[in-house]
Amino acid sequence: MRISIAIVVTVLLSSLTVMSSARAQKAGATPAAPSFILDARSYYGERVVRFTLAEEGGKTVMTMASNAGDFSRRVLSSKDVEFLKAEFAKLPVPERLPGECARFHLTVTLTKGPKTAEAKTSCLGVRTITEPAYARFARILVNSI
Amino acid sequence: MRTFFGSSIAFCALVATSSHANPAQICDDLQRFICAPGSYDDGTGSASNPTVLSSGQSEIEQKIAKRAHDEFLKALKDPDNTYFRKTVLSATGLSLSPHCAKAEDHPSAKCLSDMATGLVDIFSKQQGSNPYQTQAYAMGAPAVTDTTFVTESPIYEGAVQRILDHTKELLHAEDIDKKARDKVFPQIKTLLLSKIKQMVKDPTVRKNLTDKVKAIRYDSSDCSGGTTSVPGLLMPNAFYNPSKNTFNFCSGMTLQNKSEFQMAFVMAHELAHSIDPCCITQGPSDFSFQFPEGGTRADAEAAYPIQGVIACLRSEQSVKARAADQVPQVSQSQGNYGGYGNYGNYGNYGGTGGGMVNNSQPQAPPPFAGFCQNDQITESFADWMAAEITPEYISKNYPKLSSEQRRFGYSNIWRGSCMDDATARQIAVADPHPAQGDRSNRILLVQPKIRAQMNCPKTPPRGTVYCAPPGFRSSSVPIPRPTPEPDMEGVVK
Repeated sequence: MRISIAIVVTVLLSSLTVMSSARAQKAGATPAAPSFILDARSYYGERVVRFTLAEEGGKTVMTMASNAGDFSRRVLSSKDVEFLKAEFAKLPVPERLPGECARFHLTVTLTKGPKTAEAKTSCLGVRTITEPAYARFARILVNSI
Repeated sequence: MRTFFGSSIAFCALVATSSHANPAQICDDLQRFICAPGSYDDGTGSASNPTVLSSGQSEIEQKIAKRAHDEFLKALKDPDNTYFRKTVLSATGLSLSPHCAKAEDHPSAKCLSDMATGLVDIFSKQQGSNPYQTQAYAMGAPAVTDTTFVTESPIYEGAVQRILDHTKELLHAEDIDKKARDKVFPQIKTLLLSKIKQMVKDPTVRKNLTDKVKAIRYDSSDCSGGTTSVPGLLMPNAFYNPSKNTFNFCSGMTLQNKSEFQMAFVMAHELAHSIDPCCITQGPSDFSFQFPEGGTRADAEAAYPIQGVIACLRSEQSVKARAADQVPQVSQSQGNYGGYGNYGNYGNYGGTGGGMVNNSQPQAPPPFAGFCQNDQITESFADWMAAEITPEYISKNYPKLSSEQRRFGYSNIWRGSCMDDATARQIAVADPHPAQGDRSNRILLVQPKIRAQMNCPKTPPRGTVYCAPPGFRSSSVPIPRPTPEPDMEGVVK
């Protein structure tokens, strides 16, 4: 059975919005939504690496963590942030994700403000038309740490 | 007086030993010992906690770094590589250093060496060799664009290829392959086949799974990913490839861990993926297992051929394997959109790879779409099956190990797999594996044969449960209770 990733993400983000609104109302304050968040998750066999790029205290911070215990944070310049956004925009979206990529893929979600997000996923390390672009993007993410 | 003093000291030492150092506690908390500093020889090989090595690198990694330095130095010295030197000078910040003035055309020996060192750092990060233990460039870091100019340079790529070729020799990849392919793999495969025979009741399903597992081939220890080089040659990793029906035990696994406990467990884990709740549906469509069309998650879990194990692994007393639509946990700091905390946005296999989202319109949850998306049950199952297989492999191949060696051995499986809270929070929402502590303490440590081999009490730690396979007991309800007694050889009846 196929489900559009857009539906999945919509449901997810919708529920987050509802829950975060409820929480904010309860606290009597509305937290400022970050202008954007880039969340990239790399899956390759047993290895999982997550990169998040988000605003923190007026700076844009890239955070990396892996399930091997690696962790790092770095403040990126606005030039680098724009570079990453531009590279994300270039990522092609495959028409179909093969089942064998369940443990071999890179998913990148760019959330702009509280309402919209764009998610892109492709196989990683499994040869497909879009894989080289995502492998390159993964290398750029590593360069950003 | 001396006698009295001596007696007092002996008494105090005894008290201190019994109240502060109690090796038997390993039977309740294996994970703590996994994170302990030191190197432990379990009689099949030794493993080290990487955090305690002063250099942060194993001997072989230091050799690779030296070779990489030499290769990059050679490339940097080439008079024709002026533009490449410019990219490296910018990416390392050395262009600002007085000793690198005009180094793009006339580099000094020291500047060349420093540029090569910078390239080794970039290479190490890309290859996953302890890349993130330090934050060397966290302050005043080079621009991402500059580093990308370096990593996309054909000169850099050429040097990397030569380094990787040499690295494979240093890693003794042939030796790893020989041991993996000729010794461990055939036995693990045989043990998995015996488990299928014991656990799967339906003869047709049993035959299809048996045929699939029989056909699995060991690929190699080279996980450099060919042209993509995504995973990194030095990164500890392993994987089953469902499209090829092969698996890889990556050479990076052996950098700081030579234990055969690890190799056996990892192989069993990867082979088990071939029949996990996701991959069991993959393969030739007319002969692959299929869950009921249009059913619910509960229907599918009930239909899984190894009865009861999924429900048990999802229980609080076991590893609490999460699925996308099962846990309402929310953590929005750091942008945790989707995953095992709040689920939802990776992979839509068979669907498209992208889409725009407007999250202002709440929608109904999607129908159940299988176990391949956002579900920890696949990794949990693979761990569980590996815990069933590994003690049998060990008892057959190393029957004379002491219980202390076995304690070292089972902790060596995940030696050094430890992380601080910040890392755990960041990765938890994305990781399809259960929490490391649960993997160690609620899968390995509750397995009766493993407990017997470690000379631990038969009853698993309080609040945990052993997920028994079909036929092991009449009910698979996941509530803690005494498990059947192992016999003298540690075999559970």
